[in-house]
Amino acid sequence: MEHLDEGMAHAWIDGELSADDAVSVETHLQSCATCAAIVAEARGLVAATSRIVSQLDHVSAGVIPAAISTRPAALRARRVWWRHPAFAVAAVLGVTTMSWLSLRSTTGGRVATIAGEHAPTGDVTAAAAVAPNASASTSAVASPTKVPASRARDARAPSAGAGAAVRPDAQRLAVRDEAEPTRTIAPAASAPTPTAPMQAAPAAKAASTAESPMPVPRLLEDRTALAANRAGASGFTSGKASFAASASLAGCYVLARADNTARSATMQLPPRIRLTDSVRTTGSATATFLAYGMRDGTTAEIPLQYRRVGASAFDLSPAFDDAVIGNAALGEAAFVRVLALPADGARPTASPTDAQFVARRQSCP
Amino acid sequence: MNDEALERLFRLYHVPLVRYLTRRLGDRDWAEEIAQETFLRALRQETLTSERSWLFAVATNLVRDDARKETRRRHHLQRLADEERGRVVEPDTTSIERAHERDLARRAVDGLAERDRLALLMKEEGLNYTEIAEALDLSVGSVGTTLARARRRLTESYEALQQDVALRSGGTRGAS
Repeated sequence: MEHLDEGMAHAWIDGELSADDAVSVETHLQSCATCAAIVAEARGLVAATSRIVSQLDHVSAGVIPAAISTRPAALRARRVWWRHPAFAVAAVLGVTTMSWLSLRSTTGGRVATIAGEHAPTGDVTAAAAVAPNASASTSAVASPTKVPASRARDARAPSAGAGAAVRPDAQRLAVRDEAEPTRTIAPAASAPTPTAPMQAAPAAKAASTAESPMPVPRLLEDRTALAANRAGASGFTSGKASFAASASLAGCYVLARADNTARSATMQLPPRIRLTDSVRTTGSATATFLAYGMRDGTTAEIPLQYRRVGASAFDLSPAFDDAVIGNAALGEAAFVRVLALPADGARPTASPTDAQFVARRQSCP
Repeated sequence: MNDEALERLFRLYHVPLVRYLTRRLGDRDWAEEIAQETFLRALRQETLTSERSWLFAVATNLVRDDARKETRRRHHLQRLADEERGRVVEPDTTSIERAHERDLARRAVDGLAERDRLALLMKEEGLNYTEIAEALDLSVGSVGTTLARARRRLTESYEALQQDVALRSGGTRGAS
């Protein structure tokens, strides 16, 4: 097969190629770094475009409840992350790590606990938050069937090797929120109901029932308010996702539109994570946080780099405080987060987290 | 088309159509008007085969016609409305930031060629390549290339605008 042109790469991402052509492209991408880079760049452009276009949606002043906290300025700042050169490094790390995790998942992994911790300036707390229902908060998704070719978010991060199937559900870390007390129920948008069989890790399930509901980053609440506003105005609904027992580790939302194949999810990550169990932390100076899209051809991988700042603490690299996952699939969108902690050489000693969410496509109006 | 069919059409497509038009026009009220007129025209049709592409195509044409007639007047009214909003609302920092981002996005989107912009906005509303091709009178095979070009230009334009703003604000700080 000849190299892909840009239009074909976009058509493939948009799911507009015939089945035969799509298979040809996928096969070709596994062996062609050049085209993998083209696709990776196209993915970045698709995600960036959705993000830019969504900014056109008008939000009248005063629709966002005043009680909601303000994200720290550093987190509010929009970075042109899809062009950040450091991303290539993270992408490589992610690919390497996940390849290893893929192998490891077949032999079972350790179960550990990590806790979310807010850095002093990393305040995402406020009155309004979400208390996801138990089913949503312990939801699990089916194992990924495939992650075709490159899914790195950056244009210059070819990752043809990333196609290895990953089974993050095989290794999960229970995560616990230390920072947040009981919260109120968010108005309007309801948590989507997962449709996949649920089989959360016991530790995660316990955590989800015992711990407080997760705090909701500002952006999520903004979207909730936006959805509520639209719902009142014209019946717009928005899918909202919650993490399984992930507490303060991250918040996500998915904009889901009727018959829309271009949805996006934004993950906001904690500025600091701290290990609280016996996970070995003597190794690498960085940890890689990976977000994987799954199911229905959902395709996204976002390696995000954390930097070691102590024996058991990692800070999110300033370049990666906010990431967008492009989801070009029909049907449900499901994303799984994985925290990989390299240690003792290049091998991670901690298992991935269980954190994941399912966002069901909403029908409009 | 009977009322039942129109109602179904409305339920399915009113929201995405209004959103598409709002993004296209930057004016929700105007978008609602165009959408309403579009559905009224649909009512006059016996049947619609490719209903979504038909609706988006008609709405796009109505915008063109409307824009030609009323561009100057609407711009003037829009300015007045903006001034009024700015006078009565005390936006907080977040509102300002969001408005700023929206302005950048608006400028970037408006800077696209018309065909690229419409294809992009239709894609964002979930139209597939065939529907986009029908609505814009393109060949299906060219939609991918059109979208690729539009996405790249939009992203690059937005990035350039961000950098421009950053440079100017940096210069302002340096001068003060």
